[in-house]
Amino acid sequence: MKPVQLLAVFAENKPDQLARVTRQLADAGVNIHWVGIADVQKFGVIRFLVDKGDLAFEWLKQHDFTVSRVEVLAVEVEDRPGGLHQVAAILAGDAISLANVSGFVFNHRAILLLEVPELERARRLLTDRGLHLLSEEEMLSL
Amino acid sequence: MLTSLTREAMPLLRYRTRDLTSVLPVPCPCGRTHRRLARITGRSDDMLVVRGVNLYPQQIERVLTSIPELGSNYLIHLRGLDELTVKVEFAASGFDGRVENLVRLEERVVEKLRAEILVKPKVELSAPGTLPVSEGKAKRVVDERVL
Repeated sequence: MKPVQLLAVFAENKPDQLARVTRQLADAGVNIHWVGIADVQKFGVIRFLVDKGDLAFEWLKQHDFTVSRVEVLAVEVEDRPGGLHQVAAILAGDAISLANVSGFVFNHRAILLLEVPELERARRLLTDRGLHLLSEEEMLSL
Repeated sequence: MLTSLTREAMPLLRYRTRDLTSVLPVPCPCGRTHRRLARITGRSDDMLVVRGVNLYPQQIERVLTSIPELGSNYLIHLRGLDELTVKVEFAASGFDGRVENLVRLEERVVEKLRAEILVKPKVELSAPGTLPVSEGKAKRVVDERVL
């Protein structure tokens, strides 16, 4: 199973930073399935889930962007109250801290994207509890 | 400070160049046995006074080059009333896409600089390739202080 890899692009805190990147992705014919920005005032990191990750990575690199890949966990939870809590409680129980989290519901499927420093430990923990982790293909075919 | 011994038309007597260098203790591998000087790193009148503390750009450079996650280009920016900002590129290879690691790197640079120059600077990380490129005698200091 191919894990979910986000494209991470460094951005300074000034106008046109997102447009600079998206312009290139559009030119490269890359489709964006998800976007999130981790921001800390002075600078930020724009993260994308795209259909052609390798192409986008090389393309941006060639156009002098500071770019990297970040592996995240995509967890499917039940679309009902307590769904997120189930995951949060499992991670809290093993003292795993989270870096960036986002979530959305699509066609009654609730998906969480988790960025955790201790990725492997979190992955094992969640699969042991019977939670479904999506592969990159599954994420892109949502 | 130098004095030329053999020059006749224009001798130099205790001539102070204010260049900063050091004597290399090991003989040259080429076999020549004269005393050797290291590459000139700057001049003593490059010295800055920030909040009453004397500091040389070379001190800042030494700290920055000792941190492998940083690139080689930097800029020392002085603004307002003695506000010291060091802009430095991070190394492209060190970028792992996690913003918290950049924050941590920035904090580390601040701490190491503070320990060396005894003034707490502001540090701004820049993307690789965005600061002026370093060539031999690059302009590293921008002084816009209103004193």
